[in-house]
Amino acid sequence: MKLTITRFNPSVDAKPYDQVFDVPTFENMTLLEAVMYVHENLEPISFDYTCRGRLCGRCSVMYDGIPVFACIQFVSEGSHTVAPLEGFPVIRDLIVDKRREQKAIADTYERVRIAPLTREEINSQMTTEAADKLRWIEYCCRCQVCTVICPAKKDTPQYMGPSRLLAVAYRHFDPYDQADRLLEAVAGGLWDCQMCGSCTKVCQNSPEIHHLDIWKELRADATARGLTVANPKGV
Amino acid sequence: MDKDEQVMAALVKAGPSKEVPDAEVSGKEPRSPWSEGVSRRSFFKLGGLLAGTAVVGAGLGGCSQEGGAKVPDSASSGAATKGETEIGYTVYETDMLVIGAGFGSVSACSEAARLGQKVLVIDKGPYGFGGACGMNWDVVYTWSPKGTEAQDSVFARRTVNKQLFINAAKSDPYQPDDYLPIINWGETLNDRNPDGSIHLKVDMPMSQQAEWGFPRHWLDHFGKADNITIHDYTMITDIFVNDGVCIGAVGIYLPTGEFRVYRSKATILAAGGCTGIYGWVTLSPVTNNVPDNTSDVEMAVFRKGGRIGDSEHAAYDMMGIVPSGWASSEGSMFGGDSLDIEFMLDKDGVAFCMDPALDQDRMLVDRIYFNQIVAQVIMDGRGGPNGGIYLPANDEIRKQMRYMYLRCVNLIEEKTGADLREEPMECLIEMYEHGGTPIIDDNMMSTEFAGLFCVRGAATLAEGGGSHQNRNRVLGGYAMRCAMEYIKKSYKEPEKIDWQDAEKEFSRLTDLRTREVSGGIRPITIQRKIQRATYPAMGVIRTTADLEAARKELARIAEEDIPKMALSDHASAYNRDWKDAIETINLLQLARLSVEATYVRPETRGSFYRPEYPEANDDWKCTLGFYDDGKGGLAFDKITWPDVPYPA
Repeated sequence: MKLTITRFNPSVDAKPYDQVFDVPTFENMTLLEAVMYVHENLEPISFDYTCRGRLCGRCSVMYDGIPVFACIQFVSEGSHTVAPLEGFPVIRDLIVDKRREQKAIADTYERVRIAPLTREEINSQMTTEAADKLRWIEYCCRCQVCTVICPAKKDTPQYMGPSRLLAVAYRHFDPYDQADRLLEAVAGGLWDCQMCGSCTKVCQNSPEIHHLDIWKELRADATARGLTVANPKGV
Repeated sequence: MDKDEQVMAALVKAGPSKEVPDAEVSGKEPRSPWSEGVSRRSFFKLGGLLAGTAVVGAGLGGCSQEGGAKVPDSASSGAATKGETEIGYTVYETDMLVIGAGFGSVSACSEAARLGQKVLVIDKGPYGFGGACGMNWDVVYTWSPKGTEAQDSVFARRTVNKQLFINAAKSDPYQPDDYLPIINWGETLNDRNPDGSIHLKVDMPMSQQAEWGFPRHWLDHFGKADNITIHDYTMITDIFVNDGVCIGAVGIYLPTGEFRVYRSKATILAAGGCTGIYGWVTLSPVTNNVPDNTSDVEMAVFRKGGRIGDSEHAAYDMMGIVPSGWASSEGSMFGGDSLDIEFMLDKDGVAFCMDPALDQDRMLVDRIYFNQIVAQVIMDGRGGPNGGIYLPANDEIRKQMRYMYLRCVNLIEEKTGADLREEPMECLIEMYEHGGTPIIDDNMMSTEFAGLFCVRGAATLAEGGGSHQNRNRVLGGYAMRCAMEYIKKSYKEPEKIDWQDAEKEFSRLTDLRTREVSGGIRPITIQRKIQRATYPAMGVIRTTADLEAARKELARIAEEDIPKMALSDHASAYNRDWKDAIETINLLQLARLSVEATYVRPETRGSFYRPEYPEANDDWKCTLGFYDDGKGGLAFDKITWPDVPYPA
C-alpha cells in the first residue's frame, strides 16, 4: 500500500507536510502495524500507543480523513492517508496533546459527595438498574474520536462534546453522586446535541456505548425537571 | 495537566535547543509553592555512550550497514563525539517524588492524601492513559476479608522478605483493604446482586474478589487532589545521587526534549514491571504488559552501582496471538488458563492436559505446574507454527468467559471473519509480569541509595515473578509511610549539591541523540535483536543451551551493535528514535541480568524450570542481588532474609 503520513515537528517545520511510504501489507494488517513497519524499516515516526486493543485511545489518528484507532483499523492495498487526530495541538507527527480535554473529562468523572461512602451505603444505595447503565459507559476510553467528528461541537463550540457528556451521564446515573448532574448536562450543551448519532458511528467501543439512548434519557430527565431551552436541537 | 502547565509556564528556561517552543519559556505565571522550576546550565564534553554500564563494548570496528534503515553516515569512522556543548535543564523541587502513576503510585498517593503529604507524580505517558491503570479494562480486585495481614500470609508463600510484609500490614490503617476505598476513589463496581449490594466473584474466608473494576477513576480522583502535582509525558532516565544519597531523579520532558532535574527529599519508585525483553509479535513483546514499562529507573539504579534482584523471576499466562500482534492485548486477546485445560489442544487436536499421566487437579491450583506442562508440549514440537498451543472459543468457554474477554472474541471474529468455535486460536505463553528491581530493606528503601523507596522492590514478590495490583496497593501505601518517616527522622539537607551527577546523565542522553556513526544501526533494530535473543531463554522452560545462546548473543549485541547505535532523527521534540535508544540500553541490561540470574542458579525455582536442574536447591533459596563489577562484568550477592513467622 502507499501510506501517506502527515509529518510535523512544530518546533522546526513551518507547517505539516506529507510523506509517502511503500508498505507491504499482509492479511488482517492494522494501521498501527503499518506505521510500525515504517518506523522499524524506513524512517522514524513519532506515534503513540500503549494497549493495542481499544482500551486507552492513545493511538487515535485520522485514517483517510476519519478518526479511528490505529490498533484495530485494518488497512488495505491502494493509497491511504494517516494524519494526527484533528483539533488538537500536534506534539510531533501523529502524537497530539489531548491533555486539556482529558483533564476536563477526568474532573467531570470525579464524584461529588458531602462525605465518603460507608460500606452500608455502598451496598444499600445502588440498584441493578443503575449498575446496568453504568457498566457500559465504563468502556468509554476518552479518546476524543467522537468529539472530533461531532457536528454539534463544530456548530456550537461551547458544547462540551459527547465524551465529556458521557462523563456527566455516568455520574447522573451513579446513585452515590450528590451533585446536580442534569443541570451540568444542560449547561454543558445537552440540547445543543443534534442527535445525529455520528458519535456512535465512529466510536471504537460501540458494542457497549449507545450514545443516543443515553442522550435521550438525559433529555427526558431534564424535561421532567423543566430544564429545557428555547431552541433545542435534534428533537 | 493544568497544574503541570502552570508549573511549566513558571519556568525560565536555559535550554540550548531552538526547538523548544517559546511558549514554554515565559516566566509570568506565579510559581507553584511546592514545585519550582529553576533553570540551570552547564558546559561539558559529550561522550561516554555507555559509561557506567557493564555492557560497554570494546571496539567500534567492522561497521556494516544494517537493514534498509536510513542512518546518518558520517565521514569519520566510529562514533563521532561533539565538542564542548552547553546543555540547559530545569530543576524542580519537591519533598516527595513518586515515579509512576499506576496501582503502586495511587496507593502511595492515597496515603499522601490522607496524611497531607505533598507529592509530585511523574508519568511517562499522558496521565490517566498509561499502564494497567490507564486503560479501560475490567480489573478483578482481590482483598482479604480478614485484612492485609492475613492476606499477605497467603500471598507471601513465595515471598522472601517476610518481615517487610509484616511491617506493611501492621502499619496499615486501612485493614481490611476491601472495596470501600476503591469506591470512594470514584468506582461504582457495577456487578451487583439483585438487592444492589456488591456481587463477590469470589467469597472465601481468606480471599474475596469483585470484578468490573475500572481503575482510571482512581487516577481521576488523585489527579484532582490538592496535594498532588502531576508531570506527565516525562521519562525518568536516572536517579539523582549526592554523597551516596538519592536526592531525586532526572529525565526528559518528551514533548520538547527538555532536560529536567527533580530534587526531592525522598523518592518512591512505583513504575510497572518490564516484560519488554520477551520476544516480539508485530506490535508488542509476547505480553499483555505495556510498552512504557522499559525498566528505565531500575536500570539507572544498576548503572549507578545499585543491586538488582529477581530479574530471573517472571509470571506467565496464555495469550492469543492470532491474527497478529494487535491481538496480544487485554483489549483484543483471547487467552486461556488452567480453568480451560479440557479444551487446550496441541497441533493435532489432542487435549494434552487430560493425559492420565498428568495431575489435572494440581493444574487447577498450581499455575506453575500447568504452565510447565504447556511449555513442555511446545518444546516437544507439538505446538503450532508460532510456538503456541490451540484454544477454541467454543460455546462452553464463552459461557464462563468474563465479558471483557468475550468482547475480544467478538472483535476478532468481526474483524477477521473467522469463527473461533471452528478455528481454534493459537495461544503463546506470555510473560505478563517480571521482577528485576532494586534490592530494598524491610522499610522499602534501597540498600544502596538512602532516600529511594521501591514499591516493587526485590523480594516483595520474588519467585511470584513481579507484582499484583493487590500487592501494589498494600506496598505503595507502606512505601509512602516509610518515605515520610525517612524525611522526618533521617533526611539531612545536603551541605552542597554536586550537579555534575545530573549533568553527566544529560551528557549521555545528548550523546545518544546526536552521535553519528559510520554504518550505524537504528535503536529499534537493536531492540528487536534483544527481544529475539531473550525470548527462547526467558520462558517457562529454560534449557542451558538456550540460556547460553542468549548470553552469547546479548554479549555480542553489547559489544558490536550498541557502539554503532545511531539515530536517524536528531531532533529533541518527541523523538521516538531517541526514546527507543534510551530504552534499548535499559532492555539490553535487563535482558542480560535476567538471563544471567537464571544461568547461575543450578536449580529450578519459582516460575522457571531448568531441565538440567529439575529440583530446587536450598543453597539458592535467596535473592540474587546483581551489580556491575566495575570491569564490564556482573557480580552478585546472595541475600537471605530471616524466616519470621506471621502473626496470627
